[in-house]
Parts: sequence; structure tokens; C-alpha cells
Amino acid sequence: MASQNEHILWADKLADYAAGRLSAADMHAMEEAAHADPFLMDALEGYVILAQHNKLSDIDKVLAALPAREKALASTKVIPLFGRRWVQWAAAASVVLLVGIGLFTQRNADEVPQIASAETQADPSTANINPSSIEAGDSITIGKEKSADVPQAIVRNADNLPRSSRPEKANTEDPAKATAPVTLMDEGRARAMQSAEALPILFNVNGKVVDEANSEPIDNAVIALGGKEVISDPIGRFTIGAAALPAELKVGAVGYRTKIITWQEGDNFLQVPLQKAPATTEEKIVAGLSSRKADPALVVIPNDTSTTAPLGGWPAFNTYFKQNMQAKGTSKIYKSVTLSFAIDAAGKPVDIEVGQSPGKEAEAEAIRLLQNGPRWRRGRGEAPMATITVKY
Amino acid sequence: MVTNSTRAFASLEDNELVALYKSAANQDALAVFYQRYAGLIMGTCVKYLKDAEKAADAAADIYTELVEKLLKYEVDQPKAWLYMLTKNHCLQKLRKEKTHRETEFSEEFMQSADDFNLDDIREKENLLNTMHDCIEQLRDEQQQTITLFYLEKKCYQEIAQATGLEWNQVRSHIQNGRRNLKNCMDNKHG
Repeated sequence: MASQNEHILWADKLADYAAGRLSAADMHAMEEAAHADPFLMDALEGYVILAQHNKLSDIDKVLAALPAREKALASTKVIPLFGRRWVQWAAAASVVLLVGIGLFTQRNADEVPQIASAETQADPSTANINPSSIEAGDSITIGKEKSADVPQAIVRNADNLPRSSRPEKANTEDPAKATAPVTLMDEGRARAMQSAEALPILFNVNGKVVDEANSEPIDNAVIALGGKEVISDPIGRFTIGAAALPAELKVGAVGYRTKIITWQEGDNFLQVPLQKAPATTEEKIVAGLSSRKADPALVVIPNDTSTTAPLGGWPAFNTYFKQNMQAKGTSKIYKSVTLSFAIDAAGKPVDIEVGQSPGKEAEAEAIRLLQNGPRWRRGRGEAPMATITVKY
Repeated sequence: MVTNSTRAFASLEDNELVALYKSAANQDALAVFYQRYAGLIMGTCVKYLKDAEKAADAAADIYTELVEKLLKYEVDQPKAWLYMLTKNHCLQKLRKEKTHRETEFSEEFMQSADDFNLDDIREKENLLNTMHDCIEQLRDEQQQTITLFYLEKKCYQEIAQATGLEWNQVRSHIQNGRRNLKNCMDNKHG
């Protein structure tokens, strides 16, 4: 019985697996189950093939059109099993969240202000969730006491954020950020992706982010709800938990206008069309070399032309290094630090190796900033490796 | 009336759903059973037919086939039976197309239904820690992927990244490695 429920549960997770929406531990558990179940293993292979051909989104339509669907649907909505299954997942999710709070209390302190400052219009959703605002307030206090070693830009924003949260001030104080709210959100994303919240997730919000003009999926879009953020997968899809309905989602992507959209009770799937933002001067200097002209003091140069890039874009990444890099090194030969690294499944830089270096101190500083900086978007169809050079 | 029965269906075992369909021709019971495995059927069809649209057609055909065949045959293990039905259906489609050679998938088609219920596979997995001899006899890639999967609990995707192999190669090495390990163990322990 238990085993039956287990494999039924995995059967529902095939698309999530293939789209990379499961954690490594969940994927491992699913693979282990598949070893004992050739049916599941075959299906898994099939779904991976679908994902490789970008056909995962089609499969939902197909499954919905299957003859048995309508009959079964009437029962799946009310069935006790469904409820049970759901409770299991919800329980698992809340355990993860609780652990998350312990680990990321300090990170929360960083991300809360950033999320707040990304909200160019005052966002009612932050004000009306009572339990979360209390918790968020607490973690800010803790974070502030500990925040001596976090990068300056972030600390400054944190100071701007009393409990009542005044996003307009944060924006006016930093003109670069005021002109590019989307980029700002992206900067916050690296930390926010780790976000954890105590509120139980009661509803799963599913959707797809697309370009308003041509309906092309947008990957790496940020979907924010409450204190949580997720990013869309390569075909634009996302799932985020909501504590209450209706839920207000904020959806942004590099190069697009941020949009606020509401998930109502009874919604099945949310299509989120985003409008292209007019190109800003920031976007024009993405290439790196031109931004070197703009500020010769320090610049981070991508050493390859691949599409691998920090989330939020190169200009924001440069700004981040510029504002935070303290040690500049003592070497007369090397005026730069070169770091090579891989990008793991979560977009974090790992296996960082130092190429040329002006000295241990600058080296350690650059590594620290890289590790604390934004996550990375992996170039398509390439080895997930990147090299950056921090020049002075 | 209908609502009450369908509500109860989802908590039923596969066997009970099939029995309901066979005894009372209850279409809702069959639909719930099918829907339970729709994802597995679809994925399996994609694996063998290598085409999303053909797989969708096949999945719909399989439902029709299920409607008839379930009434004709005694089915002890509905899930295993459905799996065989799905694979056979795909095999027939491929034969008709004649563009694929049967040998391509013969090995995995030969997997017997017995394998299906080897719950003791899981128990044997617990013995992996004591299987160093056998592990060391494996070919490099099998050894590497098996070690990463079982001892380091990495998922396929992580293993693929660590080794530079494709997801499907990882899957294949681990499955072959498992088979070789099992043989090795069986030989050692009689």
C-alpha cells in the first residue's frame, strides 16, 4: 500500500524531474525508486527526452486531452488519496522551510530589504500578512547585529529599511538601482532564492512566463510571492507555494517590465506575458569592454563569449564588485584576478580556481564576492564553466 | 451516486479498481486507474517511439486497448500488466513502421515481469557497502557512476555534471552496473 502510493506520487513528478524542478535529494530518491520499477524508469527516460526537445510543455496538453482524463478528474478533485498525498508533500515542504530558517536567518536579513527596494510601487502584500511581517522583522534585527561582514551595498539598504519598509527611499538614494528595478530584483535574487518562510504553503501556483510580443518562453524570470522567490525553468515554467489566496505574484525578468499578477482561487495555470522594457544604457554595455571605459577603476570581464552570465546581468555584477571589492592586491605584474569556476545545478559558482592573482588577499576577496554574489545562468548546450577576470 | 463512488475510487488499490471495472463495467474505476499511470504510459511511449505526438496517440490507443483487454484477461498485477501492455503496444507500432530494428530495444524488452516485483532489490542495495570487491571489478564508468549514486547519493544530473556524461549514459551505466553487481553477488554467495 505504501509502495503503491509512493509510485503514484512519483508518477506525478515526472515533469518536475525532467524540468529540473526537484531537489537533488528528491531526484536521487526518484531514481532509486526507478531502479526497482522499470515502468517508472522508462517513463523517466521518456520525459528526459521530452525535456531535451523542449516538449515538456506539450505533454500537459496531451495528458489533459486523454480520454480518461475527464472522468478521473471529477474524482481527483475530491479524492481522499489526493488529500493524503498532498499533506505528505506539504509536511515535507514545511520541514525544509523550518531548516531553511535556521540556516538562512542572516541571508533573510540581506534579502528582505532588497526585495522591498525592488518594489517600485508600494506593495500591499508585504503589509497584510501579519505572521510573516513579524517574523521578517525579527530576522532583520538579528541580521543587523551580525551584518558587519556583509557587503556594504547591502548593509546600506538594510539601514534604509525600518520595519515599516520604505522602498521609495532606497530607490532614490541609489540612482543606478532606481533606473533599473528589474536588475535590482535580480541582485536580490541570489539571496532570495534561498529564501525561507514559516508560513505553511497551502497552494501551489503554477504558471509560465512568456514574451508578450511573440509568446516565447522566458527562462530565469523571477517570480516573487511573500518572502519567497523562484526562477522560471528553460521553458518559462514555474511553481511557487502560496500561503493564502488570492496571491499576488511579482514577475520580473532581465529586459522586461516587472508585472504584478494575481492568482485566484480556482486558477489552474497562470500565463504571465511580460512586456519588453526599453533598452537602458545599462543593457547596452553588457559586453564588458565598453563598461571598462565607463569605469577604469575596476571591471569584471567575462573571458568567454558564451551565454553563461550572472543573473541580473554583467552591469549589475560589475557594480556589485565595484562597490564591494576591498583588497586590490600588491602584485606589480598582475593587475587582475582571474577566477575559473563551474556552475552547479542551483546556479551557484563552485570549484573556484584561481588563475592569475595579484596576491592572496585580493584573491580571497574576489572569491568571497563571487560566492556571495548572484547566482549564474548557465549557457545553453555548453559545459557550465565560466571564467572572470577582475581588473583594476 | 456517481460522485460518491468516484470519490472513493482514488483511495482504492489498483486491484480493486480493476475488479470494479471487470465486475461492474465501471468506466470511472478504469479511468481512475488509467489516469494514475497516464504519466508513466506517456513517458514510456516517448522512450520507445521517440516522438511526442506518436506517444500521445499511443497513450490514447492504450486506453482503448485497456477497455477491451482488461475484460478478457486475468490480471494479478495491474501495474506490471499495464507496463507490458504499454511496451507491447509501442513495439507493435514500431514493427509497423519498420524503420526501427527490433534489436535496438531487445535487451530491455526481455526484462521479465518477475524483475518487476523484486522488492528485495532494495534490500540488496543495503548490502552495497560490503560489495567493494564486486564494485572494483566493474568497468571504470560503471564503477564511477555506481559509487557516486550509492555512496555519495548523487542524482543522475549531478553525476552527469561531475563525469561529463549524458543523463542517459549515466542511467545506462548505473543500470548495467547494478546488473553486473547483482551477478557478481549471486556468484559469490551461491
